[in-house]
Amino acid sequence: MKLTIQNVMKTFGEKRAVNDVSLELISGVYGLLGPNGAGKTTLMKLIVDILTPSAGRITLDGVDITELGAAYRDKLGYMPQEIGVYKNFSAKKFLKYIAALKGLSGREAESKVSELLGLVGLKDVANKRLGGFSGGMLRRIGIAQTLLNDPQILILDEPTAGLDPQERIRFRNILSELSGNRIVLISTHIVTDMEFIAGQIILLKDGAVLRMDHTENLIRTVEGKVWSAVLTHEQFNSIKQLYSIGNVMQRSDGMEVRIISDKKPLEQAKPIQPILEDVYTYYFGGTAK
Amino acid sequence: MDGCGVLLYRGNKQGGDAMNEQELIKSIKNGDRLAMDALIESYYQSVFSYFYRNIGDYHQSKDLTQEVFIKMVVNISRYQRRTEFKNWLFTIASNHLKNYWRYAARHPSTKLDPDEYAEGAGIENEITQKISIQQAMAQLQNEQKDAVILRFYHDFKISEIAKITDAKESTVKARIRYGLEKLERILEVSDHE
Amino acid sequence: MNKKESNVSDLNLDKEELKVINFLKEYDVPAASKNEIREFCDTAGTYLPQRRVSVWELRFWKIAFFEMSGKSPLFWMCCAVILSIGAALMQTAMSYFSPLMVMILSAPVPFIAFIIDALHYRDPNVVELEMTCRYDVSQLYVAKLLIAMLFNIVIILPVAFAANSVYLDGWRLILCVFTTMFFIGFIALMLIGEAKNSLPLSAFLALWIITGAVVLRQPEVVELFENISIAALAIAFGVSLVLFTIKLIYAAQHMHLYAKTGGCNL
Repeated sequence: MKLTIQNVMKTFGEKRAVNDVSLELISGVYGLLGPNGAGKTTLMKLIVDILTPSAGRITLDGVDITELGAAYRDKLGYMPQEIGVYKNFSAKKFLKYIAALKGLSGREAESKVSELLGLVGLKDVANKRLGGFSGGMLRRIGIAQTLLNDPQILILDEPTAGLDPQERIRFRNILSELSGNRIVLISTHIVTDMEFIAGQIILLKDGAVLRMDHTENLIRTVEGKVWSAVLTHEQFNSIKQLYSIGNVMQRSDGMEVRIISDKKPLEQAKPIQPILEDVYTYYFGGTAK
Repeated sequence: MDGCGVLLYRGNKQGGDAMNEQELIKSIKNGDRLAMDALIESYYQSVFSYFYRNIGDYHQSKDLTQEVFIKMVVNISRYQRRTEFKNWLFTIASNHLKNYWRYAARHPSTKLDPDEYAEGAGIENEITQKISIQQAMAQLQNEQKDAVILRFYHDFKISEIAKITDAKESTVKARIRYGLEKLERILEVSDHE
Repeated sequence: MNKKESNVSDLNLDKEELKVINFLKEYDVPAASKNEIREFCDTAGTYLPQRRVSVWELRFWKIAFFEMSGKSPLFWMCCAVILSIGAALMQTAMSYFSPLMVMILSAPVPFIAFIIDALHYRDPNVVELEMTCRYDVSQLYVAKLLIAMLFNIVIILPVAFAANSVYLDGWRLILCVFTTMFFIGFIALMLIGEAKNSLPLSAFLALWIITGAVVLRQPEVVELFENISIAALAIAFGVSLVLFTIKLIYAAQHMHLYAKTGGCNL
């Protein structure tokens, strides 16, 4: 199975949200990493055929997805960034409704919905109205509906945003249990999630692909460029004007700061082993979340 | 056990027995994987030859062939018995080829395209004074080449080619004529006897 | 190549061209390997129809079930009110309104109320989710709107029968009711296209009831409806039905076009 994105572009009026993106995805987990406004959501909407490209095309196994139509959607599971629901439906009913739209029979839907509600830990609120759900609970409903048709292609837009740490771990476990021949594309700006999940990472900035590579290789590109120093407040304030700053930790003796710089930034700076977060800081600047 | 299943359908090598073929198609509509395998097996080489003679490149032809069969499977529910299956399949293939020509025109690739190949080979062949049928075909216009191929390699009637390529019968006849005339000129020039 | 000689008599070829046809035989094509075909069949197999449910079958009644069971208690109360007011008015011989006018006024109300209720509880983003499901989303919304109209007819018919016991011109009654239903429904659908929530439609419903109540009491208006020819009413009915149908399909398509253009209005 091969999902090919060929020179895809999407403009909204003057704005070019996705700019000449070409990608080839075969089975595995891909992380789409980039700051807000990078075009991640737009790219994902193009992949699931909610939006039509202004230029270029997207093919699965060589066939244009618009030609595949329902056959493509049958393989798809999409989790939008902001999930829309029918507020007066219960969780169970809403999932059954989506299951019906995805072509599951009544019996299939019944068992699948039950299984998924258990998987995302919402079994005890199955009959409560969605209107009363918190953001995190709705997101879990979003994850559940994505898996209803056992899709081969999973497109997840910011799946862990708004989840508490326990829910995030549960989500990672769900992902790791999904075995075999699937394409999973996850967009996020939460780098720590990416480290556990993704095999390959796609860096997206201003609608264009900066790089696509395995996590280890990306980290290697910033080796020798990550430094650690303990600074006073004043030192920190002057430093942050000049360099990209990674994680900052308050210590009793000052602020322990990760600095991204091609050359040694300060006398007291020590080179350290980079992590994925540093890759983010290097390519996108500023402070990573 | 896999082989056993295919053996049951093996009488179908050329897609010849129409009744058997219709049964296969009915099974495929119900999701029968073995039936699909058998049908693809019986037409794969034929569709591949169609693309290969049109394009001249093995890998590109293989891709196009496989894409056509995916389209076949996806649209199998739309196939109606009143059309010959072979004609229906080749209509998909012909449209797919047209899309390919259109896309290739807008995105000139670095890969050797048949015209370049023919020219380059032509220079070489001035020495040997022989030009192969492959090279000669490559010099035809796309539509002429397509019509000639459908007529003489796949045995379609003029009326069928007209439907498959969505053209008038008179146009198809003209394309074949001009195609053959050009081939004749090219082959004569190279002293082919 | 061919096992038999191609019959080329339909092409009017000369001798030279016939010679060329012989040379065509020399165009050999490499054979595709069995492995290649087998591997490919694994991929192709993933596109086989897996469920017996065909794509074109929208399961209309399943959608209807979800729509109906999703209605709020408030909605059902409103419908009950319409029914009882209508019925009560029929019974009072000296009614404030003519039965015909009452029917015209209440004819499109269940349809509009149905959609208001749906829009009120619906998150506009849900269309995006629906667009990634197997069934065509515009067919889905055509079905939903049709269900709303069917519901309207189901509610109004008993009231119409009640009216018929008081108001004896049956054809006039039916034609006026259905014409109003489809024409006002048509206008309501125009508002749905732009609506992100239920406000415009609620305002329209209120406007209709208030204006209708005033206008339909006027003696001139009553006389007009009482005396207009059946033929003219039939034509009006035909026109309103056509308008409604066209707008129904357009509105259903517009729902997902809205999402497809990234939220920009066309």
